[in-house]
Amino acid sequence: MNSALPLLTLSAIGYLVAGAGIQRGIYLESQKSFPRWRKVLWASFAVHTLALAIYSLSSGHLPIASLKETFAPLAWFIMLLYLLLGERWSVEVTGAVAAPAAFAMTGFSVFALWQGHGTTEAGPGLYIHVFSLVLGFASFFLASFCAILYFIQSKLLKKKQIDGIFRALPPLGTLDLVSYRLIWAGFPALVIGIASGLFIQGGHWYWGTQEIVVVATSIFYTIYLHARVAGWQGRRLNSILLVASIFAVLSFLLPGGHQ
Amino acid sequence: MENTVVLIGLNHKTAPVEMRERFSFSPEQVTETLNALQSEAALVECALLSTCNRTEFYAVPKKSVQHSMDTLTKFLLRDNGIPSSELDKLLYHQQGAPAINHLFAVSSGLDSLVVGENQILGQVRRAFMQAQEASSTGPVLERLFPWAIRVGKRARSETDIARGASSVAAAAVELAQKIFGDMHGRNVMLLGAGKMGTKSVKLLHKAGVNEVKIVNRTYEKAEELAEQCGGTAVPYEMLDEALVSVDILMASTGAPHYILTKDRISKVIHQRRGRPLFLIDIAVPRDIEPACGEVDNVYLYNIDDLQAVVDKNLARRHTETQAVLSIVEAATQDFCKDLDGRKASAAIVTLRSGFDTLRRAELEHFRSKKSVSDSELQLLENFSRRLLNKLLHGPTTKLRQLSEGGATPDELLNSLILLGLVEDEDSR
Repeated sequence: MNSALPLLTLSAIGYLVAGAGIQRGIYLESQKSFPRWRKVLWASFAVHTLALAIYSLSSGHLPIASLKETFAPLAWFIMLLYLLLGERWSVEVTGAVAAPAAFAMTGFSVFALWQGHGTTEAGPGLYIHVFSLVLGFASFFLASFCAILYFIQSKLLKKKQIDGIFRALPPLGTLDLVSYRLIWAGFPALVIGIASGLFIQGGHWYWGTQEIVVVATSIFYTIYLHARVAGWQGRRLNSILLVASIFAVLSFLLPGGHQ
Repeated sequence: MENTVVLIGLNHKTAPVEMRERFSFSPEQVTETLNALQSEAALVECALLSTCNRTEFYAVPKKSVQHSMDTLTKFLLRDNGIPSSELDKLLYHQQGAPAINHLFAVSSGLDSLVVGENQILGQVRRAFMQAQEASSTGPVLERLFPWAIRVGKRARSETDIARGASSVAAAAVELAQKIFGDMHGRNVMLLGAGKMGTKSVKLLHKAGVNEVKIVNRTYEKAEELAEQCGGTAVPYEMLDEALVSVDILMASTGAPHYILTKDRISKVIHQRRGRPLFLIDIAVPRDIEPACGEVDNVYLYNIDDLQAVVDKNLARRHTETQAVLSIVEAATQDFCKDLDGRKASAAIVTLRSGFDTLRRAELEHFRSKKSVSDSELQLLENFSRRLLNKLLHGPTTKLRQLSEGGATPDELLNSLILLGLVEDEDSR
């Protein structure tokens, strides 16, 4: 475990540096440096993967013993989705938010693991539960980054500020479509995560704060998907997405009744 | 002189449009002129670039540069009745590196009226193709023009010289792309029959929009325009209904009052389920109430807003000129070096082929006298080739140095003849 923490720290620093680089590129209205920062992100992601592998081998389980530890695989999934889809879906600039977020999550996880790692009886059911939720939330967080950029871009268009970061940000239509795809992909994972959790607990639902927030999160995402499928778009729909994202963040931070 | 490029021409900087149009050549006239120039003894190669903003001859003279310039001036003037006293003010002449530099600046868009415009690159390509078709190109222009096209592409890809729309119509399309991303499947409505609106709709069509609806107070006029634009005419009374399914509306009517008010748009936007609506008002007086821009998911731009986009883009292009100039300068140096290398290569080929003939003859002589096996012959072949390479290394290097120092192909050949390294053709 000891050797995993410096590697995790290193990957977090890599995410921070690349995130700052992408932000600078946006500020300078030039995406020429993006391929370089993508390489830095891939390298940091490789180190992150190695750190998780070392941690798992030395402790006998993945860092999922507590929610704080789970931030490390969550950041890993966010970066995986970003690196695989960001360029392909023309939303590479989301790295300006995704990479610093991955830094914060990895850093938080390092801090938690430094204080001592928890123990867990990690059966296959728990892994399905945790990883479905982590994958789903990674997808939701990336979608929320797109929604944030949607609001920024929309405001710039309204104010007719067509210089500066406006040029670097993707079109509203692209951001809207990518958010939708990510929610579409993340929602089944959320459902599997909740269902497998219920199964592990023997069908008993504990009404802790966290569980209530998770249910609220899934309701908001259901409303979003329903409205989007019905043809709704625009700022109001993206507002629902942002509210859902706030609930998603809270569901990670609040204490749960079933831990 | 056969490796020097000369240029003579005029452009928007030296001649007003009423002069430029008198020097302009139609595509047929370009071919005719190039064919006629081939019968002139003064030139080896020639190409003619004629656009609305410039007419330029690029040529490789045979002997005297002055003679070639006189010939080109004669062809440039034709019978357009311009007194020769006025010509000095209109025409510019260049020779060697400055002429090459000029063509590269032209292809990069540095010399264009709208800096960085893309059309010129296609025009340079067309001038080259016309010269090729007229068989008036040779080794120099065959390298110069493709080189110029590469420089033009490089300038556009490595700098922001061509970035951003440079006309109001293009700015409207650029903003539409910034709102919707992919334009395929988008619907456009043209309200009114203004010229600018029609132009923008054509550009949007090019960008891939799905359907164009034309609305005009006079339905017949809408139908007429719809036929021109490949769209559908919609009765004026059905404007609100049609707006529900439209993504971009371009208004350019001659109405003295607002046609689309905030209340009207608010009702439509509700039925649109939040889908963004891009309103472009290029009419003066305006057709769309400015308060429409306050409605959620509505983006309203008028003619001044679009002009501001164009102005900012052009200002940005001007800041890129220094970076493009560096590319042009470097490319000019590279091309001149390449040209010098080619001057030397003719002499080097003569030198090496002469000695190689000698080597082969000696090998043949040896083989006819002695009975040697194939492997022994191969050994001798390798040995003689290596020896020849070593012996000719010094003279080859010297030839290249002389060429870089400015020696002409004839001078290089003469130096070889003087040293007895090759035979003089006259003495054979």
